[in-house]
Amino acid sequence: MNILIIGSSTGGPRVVFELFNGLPTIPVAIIIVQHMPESTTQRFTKRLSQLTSMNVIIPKGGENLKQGTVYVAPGDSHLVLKNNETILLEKTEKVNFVRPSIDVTMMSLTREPRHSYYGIILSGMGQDGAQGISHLKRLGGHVIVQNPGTCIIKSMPESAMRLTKVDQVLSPEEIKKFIWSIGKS
Amino acid sequence: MSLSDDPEISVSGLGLMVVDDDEDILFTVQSLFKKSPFPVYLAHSGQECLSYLDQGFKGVILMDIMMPGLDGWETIQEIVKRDKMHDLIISMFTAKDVPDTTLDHLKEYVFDYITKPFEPEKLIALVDDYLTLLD
Repeated sequence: MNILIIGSSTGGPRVVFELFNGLPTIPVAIIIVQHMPESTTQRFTKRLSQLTSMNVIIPKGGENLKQGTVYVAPGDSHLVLKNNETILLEKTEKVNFVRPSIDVTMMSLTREPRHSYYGIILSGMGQDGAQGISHLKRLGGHVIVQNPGTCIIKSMPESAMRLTKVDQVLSPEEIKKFIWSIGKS
Repeated sequence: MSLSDDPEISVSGLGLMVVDDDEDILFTVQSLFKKSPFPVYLAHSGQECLSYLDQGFKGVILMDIMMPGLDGWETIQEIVKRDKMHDLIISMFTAKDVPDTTLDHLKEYVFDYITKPFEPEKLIALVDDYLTLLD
């Protein structure tokens, strides 16, 4: 299964919307970890579902990942993947000052030959996602950061780049093309 | 628009609030959204922003960072403390390019970052978009 985790924070939502605008259903399970309060999750998800034909849901916990579905990590919960495919929501301590944390989701994955992992870090403040991207890279995943020059806030992609030799540094438009290409690979 | 002039503030409906101690910025944004179908509220301080929220403001807030009294971050901290984040989208609205990362713990409450000087058309499009998101 193709599993893509997108981490995003301040300034990221407008990029996320751009990435999903017109996205057809592709054979990828996409998890979005957007730093946001719980009250915004529903609205953020509704907007996404209006932009793409993929199935967009807020998991309740216990779901098994399915290709063609977008999972939005709910505000105030960490999203963890048990056995690399079952979603668990946890109210454990904030990590990098946030819950959900991108690092927590990415680092819950383990090596699994059946899966192809992809990780993307978008605009955001702080360093959440840097450890996660490093972990995904070690697992053989393909990791990308938004070109800091195109970010509203560039510290998150820059932190990831400091820690890991990322595979690609792309503009939102290029990231969009990349996501479409996963479905074709 | 000020609270005392506008008894309608407590009615439901979404609006735009600009929080800035710079009178020129407030005037510019107000002029920009003059023909918009939603009300625009001007808060000269963090304290005034909180007053609007107490009166039931819902919508998009453009929040300056450096203000006398409560600064932008302190105001957001107070909004969270008072459990007023529902029905709000907050964007920082600032000339400061590099955000203060010591305030990492508030980042989840900040949806966007709009820098001044701003492109009028882009600002209108973003505010419209975020209001639609709240609708």
